[in-house]
Amino acid sequence: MADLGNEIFFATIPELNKKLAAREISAEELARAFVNRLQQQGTRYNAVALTLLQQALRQAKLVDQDIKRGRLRGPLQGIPYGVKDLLAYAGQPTTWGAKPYAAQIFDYNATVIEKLSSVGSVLAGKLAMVELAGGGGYRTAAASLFGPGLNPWDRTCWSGGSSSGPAAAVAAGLVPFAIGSETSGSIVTPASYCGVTALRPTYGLVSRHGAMALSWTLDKLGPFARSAEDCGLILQVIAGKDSNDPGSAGRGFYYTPQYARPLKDLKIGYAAVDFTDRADASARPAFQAALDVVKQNGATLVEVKLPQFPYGPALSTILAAEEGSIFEPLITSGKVDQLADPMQIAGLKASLEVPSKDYLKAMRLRRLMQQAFAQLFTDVDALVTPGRSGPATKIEQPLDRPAPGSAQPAQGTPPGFQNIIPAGNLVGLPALVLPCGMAGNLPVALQVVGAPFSENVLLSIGKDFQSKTDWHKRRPPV
Amino acid sequence: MKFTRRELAAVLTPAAAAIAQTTAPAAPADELAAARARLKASADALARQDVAMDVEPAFQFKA
Repeated sequence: MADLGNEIFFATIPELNKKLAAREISAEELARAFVNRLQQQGTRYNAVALTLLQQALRQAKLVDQDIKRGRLRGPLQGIPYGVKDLLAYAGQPTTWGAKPYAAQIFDYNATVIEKLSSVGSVLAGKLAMVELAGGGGYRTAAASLFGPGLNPWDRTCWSGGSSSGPAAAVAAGLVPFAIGSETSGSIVTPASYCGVTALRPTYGLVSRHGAMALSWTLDKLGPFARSAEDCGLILQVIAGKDSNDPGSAGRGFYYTPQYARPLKDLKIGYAAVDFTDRADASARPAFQAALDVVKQNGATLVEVKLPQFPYGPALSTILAAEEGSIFEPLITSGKVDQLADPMQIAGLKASLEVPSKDYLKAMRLRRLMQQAFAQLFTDVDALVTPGRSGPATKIEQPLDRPAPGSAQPAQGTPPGFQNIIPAGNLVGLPALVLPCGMAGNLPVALQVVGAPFSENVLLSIGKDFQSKTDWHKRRPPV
Repeated sequence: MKFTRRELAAVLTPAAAAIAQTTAPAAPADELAAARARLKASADALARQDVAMDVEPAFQFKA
């Protein structure tokens, strides 16, 4: 096999596609290179659940035959990828990151995998995750069948979760892209901590069929990739109506950068306090520099406030009620005690006790939240804020309390967009994570949030940001 | 050199207490109580919200 060099592992989808189309490299060579890299280096970050060399090579050979015959299926043809291990892949274990499901095998593929397969993408492996996507709550980074997700930038730090494997694998160049999921923060957090571009789509845009359900009304699947453009290309493939998903929005997505509104015509809402007092001191210079870049794109930045609602309590209640119903057999059988994290075990047990009146109240408030955000998005086209207020935490740091010595915002500090993650997930809003700088040796990121189905707006803002910066191209010291 | 039992206790007890504080996990009953308390706090926060009678939940059922 030809020596592919190291650059190939950090190439974007269009760059890889160009090499495949020009027959500089075969899909089989590419698959072998990435699966081998995933096998050899994935364990450094506890990022891998399972590699799929034989299956990947079989698929890649078919792709090579197609390319030879001129049957071109688009930019994702021949591109290797990984999926969070909550996506069903027929005949192989799908563990959900949890000991009680370590031997679970489905006999069908998740819709997302079917869609990617139909355009010739090559599944390289299943990637590690926090057990059961962390729904019951978790106190430690070790809340996983695979051990704590380690950050490729600094393996004494957490990769973030619950999509720990997808974020780490893309950051370390182990796969060109990966599919993760978010219920509340599980794409935005690891993408921010690992310095990876990622997209949480509008609720219902990407089919959940074949994905572990944690919360029927909150779960979304989305890509981690090398760039905003890559995320757009991936979303175009994986989005679409699916009658197997009761929450399907019934519509597809076309990535249309050529029709993007000029950025000078956009209004972007933000809260200055998010980039100053609410940000970790180590990250403030990076956040403020990134905000300056956003301002340079010509869009009008306006200070706005999020509608006032108890987002955290509403999300906690909805999540608990839905996950309790989903995992009732696990909990009542006692197998829940096999999970790694005691806080998760207790959270799941308690979730069976959520009164229906509380769930319904939260869901009624949710309708009011949707109306309030719809009003907000008549005033602005997008919102921008840090993905997380600071860089990744140390592995041993408990996740339910601040790090020792860390400064907390003074009492009376305005809230800014501190609730944007639960708010955005409750309302079903899309969010694009953009690496935007470093805090010490660790990356930090912005998130750009939009109205439902405004992914093309977010991607145009992201593409412009990434044309002016190179943070998304930086590589951890692998 | 001989130590009295009182002297040994004075030396060993703080160290033992320090180890207990840093390594003993919360008992499962305590974790469950804490989880219930978190859900109760959420419920209390929701209870303080006024929602008009005609606001329906954000899900639909269609026959």
